[in-house]
Amino acid sequence: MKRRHFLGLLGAAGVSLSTGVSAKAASSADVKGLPNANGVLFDASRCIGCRKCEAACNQVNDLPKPAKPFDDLAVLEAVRRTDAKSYTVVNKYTPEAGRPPVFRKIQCNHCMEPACASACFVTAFKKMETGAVVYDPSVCVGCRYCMVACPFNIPAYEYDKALTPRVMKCTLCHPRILEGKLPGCVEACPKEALTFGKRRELLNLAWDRIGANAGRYVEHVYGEREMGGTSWLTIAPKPSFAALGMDEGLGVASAPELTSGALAAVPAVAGIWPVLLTGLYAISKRKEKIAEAEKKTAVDAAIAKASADAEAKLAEELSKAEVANKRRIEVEVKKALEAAHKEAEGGEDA
Amino acid sequence: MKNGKRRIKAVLAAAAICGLGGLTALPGGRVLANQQGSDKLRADIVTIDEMQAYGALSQPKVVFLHDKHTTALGKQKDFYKKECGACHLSDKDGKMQLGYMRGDEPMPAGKLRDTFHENCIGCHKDMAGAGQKAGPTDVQCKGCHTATPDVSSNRQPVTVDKRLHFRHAATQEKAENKCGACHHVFSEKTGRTVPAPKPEEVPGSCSYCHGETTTVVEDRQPKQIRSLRLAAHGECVTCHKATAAAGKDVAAGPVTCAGCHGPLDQKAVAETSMKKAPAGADLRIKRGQPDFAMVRPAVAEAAPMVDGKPAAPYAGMSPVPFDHKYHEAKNETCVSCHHAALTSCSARCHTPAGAREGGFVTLEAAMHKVDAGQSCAGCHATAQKKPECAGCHDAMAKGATNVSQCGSCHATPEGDLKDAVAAMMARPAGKDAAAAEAGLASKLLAGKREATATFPIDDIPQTVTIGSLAKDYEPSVLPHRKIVLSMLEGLKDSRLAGAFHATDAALCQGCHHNSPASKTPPRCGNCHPAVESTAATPRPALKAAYHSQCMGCHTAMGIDGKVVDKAPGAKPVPKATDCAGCHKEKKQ
Repeated sequence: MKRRHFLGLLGAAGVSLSTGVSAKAASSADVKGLPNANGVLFDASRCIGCRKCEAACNQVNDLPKPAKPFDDLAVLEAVRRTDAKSYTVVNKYTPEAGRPPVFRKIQCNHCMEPACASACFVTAFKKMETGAVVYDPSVCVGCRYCMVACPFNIPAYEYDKALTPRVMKCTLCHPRILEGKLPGCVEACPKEALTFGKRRELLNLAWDRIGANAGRYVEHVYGEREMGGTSWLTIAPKPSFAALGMDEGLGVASAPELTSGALAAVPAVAGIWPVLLTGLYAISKRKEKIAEAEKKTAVDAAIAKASADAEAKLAEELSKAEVANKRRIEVEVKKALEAAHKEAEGGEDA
Repeated sequence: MKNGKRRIKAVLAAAAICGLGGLTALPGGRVLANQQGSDKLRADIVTIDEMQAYGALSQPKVVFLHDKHTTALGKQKDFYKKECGACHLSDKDGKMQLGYMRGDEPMPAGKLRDTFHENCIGCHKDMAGAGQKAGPTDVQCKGCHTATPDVSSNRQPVTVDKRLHFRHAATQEKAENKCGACHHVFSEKTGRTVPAPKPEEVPGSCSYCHGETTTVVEDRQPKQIRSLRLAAHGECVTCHKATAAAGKDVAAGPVTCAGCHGPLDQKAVAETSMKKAPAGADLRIKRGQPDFAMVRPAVAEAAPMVDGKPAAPYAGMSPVPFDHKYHEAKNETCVSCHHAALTSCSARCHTPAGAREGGFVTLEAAMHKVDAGQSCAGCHATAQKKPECAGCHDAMAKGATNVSQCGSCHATPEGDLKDAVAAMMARPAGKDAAAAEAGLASKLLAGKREATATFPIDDIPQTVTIGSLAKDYEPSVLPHRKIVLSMLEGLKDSRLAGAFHATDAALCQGCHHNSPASKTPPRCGNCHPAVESTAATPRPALKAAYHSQCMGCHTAMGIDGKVVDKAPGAKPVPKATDCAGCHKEKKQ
């Protein structure tokens, strides 16, 4: 293909992308579409690591009993993550040697714009009005893109089930919230390290607590803006969130916002490009074919004309030559006749 | 070139291996420098960087170990004949100059550099020539200008606390100058600094005039006010040396860097001070200060106009009577409160409206700032961090936030004291009024409690059964009287606690909070809801209220899991995760 042609195709493809509709993902902490979203505020300075929240979650969700009972606090010596049998775990961290340890509860953060919901192409995850991100196992195909997408590495998978494995993660006790009850973990916590309420009110409460206890807390509410904002908020005592194993480098763009640009181009790429580019190619190919044919006829015609011309010329030249020949013969004959006539004349004179 | 590719690969591989080896060696040096007790942690590091004043340095700063040199030279009598004079010149008055081999006259960069190079390297060469171990003599710069010295500093700042001051003052009791031996004043008359003639005229701590850097005041003799470092070394060390030289049996202070600044040496000095100050000795730094004082704005405020007439009698915030002698006993130096001068706080700096000289810190802020150690509220807040106070105060707001507590300090005068206070406020503060104000202050402080007290023992319930929420656990039986008595025990020596816990119910309010003070406080459940609601509120529900209050106190006092009860066979305070420690589990 000629270079010019190739560049032309590229340009056409690019222009076609700009005409597509781009997907808009909100990036503000208060997603306007969910004014009544609930959330939970976790205060790491209050948690004593008693694991009552884990026990309550296990009981409320009918999860299988674990190998070690929930009042075994020795499990806190190792850092754990959520798995297929535990929607939530509590971990122990020691940010400063010699000072008492700090505990953190890990569970789904129920993002305002969930990455799992964005990655799932069968819409198995939905962000509900209550604020919970809820999973529907009946449509799940088990691709586990949600596990790849989650920036907090929360969804777990029932790998040991062969026929009906599910993605397992905290549901924010969505059914209980609809009944007006508190989530199981919130109800069980003896220190009210977990507070349930409207997300906006929890943010106000968190900042009031930070302000009232100057110097105790890190001056930041984790989840206020991280990954576009989450329903689960955390405040922690100094020195830092990173000391509690929390990722401080996530940024404020939600996962859908990060991918919406590229994803908006997919219809154009999958739908328009094949047709457009094939069409352009076909048109230009046809143009070439026609040009070829025309050239051929032109060449043939030219050849035919040329040979006809040549023949005509030849015939003309031939006839001319014949005429000239004839004339020459005539002239010779005339000359000979004259010469003979003259001879005959001269003879008479003698 | 032939086999070019293969050769380059080999070279790169070799370079990578060498580089890795070099990298692993790097941290080793730093670790060495931080090992405690080793030769690498020193208090005598002098960083020679005077050339900085002339522009960017072309060589790393020189790390000079002062004690190492004085010790080494001390063993070489021929090189140390002039002792300090081997390196430090004296000016025409015989005063030792602290710069190396020079006075403080300004000199060009080249001359300064040569002063160092010629003298340092010259001496090293001389010693090496005499067969002694000496410092770098090579022409290579790195011998002295090393970018990564393997020593690090453990130099501690020196505080002349009351005990040290007592020991020094005792040496000057029979001397002519007394305080003037160390403390001097700038005399306007002569235009020079002269020894302070009387204790009352001592301006106070050296740090009031001698700051971080040397300052220059034009119409003053001498022009320069030396930095605290230069002043202290110039006066203290030379005096110690002179005293030691004066006689064999005279105790003299340290002359080495580590002797004053090394942490181990400082500990030894502190121990000696404890021994040398006889028991019951009056450690008070005497300057003719009053035992009592009234804390008030220095300038008499004009009375506000009320109904067209100036308001009378005095209508404003009551001044604060202050037990100055007691506070002196509780602090190590005057500088703890008088951080910039011994004059009145509010005369020029912390005026009621704020002034440039005081950094625009108003009088109110200066007295109440919680995060400043020199303010009243700030120092008290620091005292509240002690374990015996923190149990209650950790959860409470810090500082003077509760307006019903203003009266703890701003004593309301009763009866005829009212007129005395009004008359005092109408006059500006001053030396002549100080005696009268002292008398007034001691009268106003008369009723203050010396120690925390609470209701009679029989009125304090022995146990309280907390069972309104009992579901999975039995009701909890709280050893109420034991807790109250143990808190009183912890507070019995604190006059600060006594002064602020002014009523019998004050101690109860540590737990029975956010309610009117009473002998029969309201139930916790009257304000804390029994069931946690789905609406976010700052007030916890009852279960969390109980747990936060109890566990919070145990954590703040640091008694979680520890035995506090002094009775024999007492059990430790239950840890936060030990549910059964406070309430038994219900048998199913």
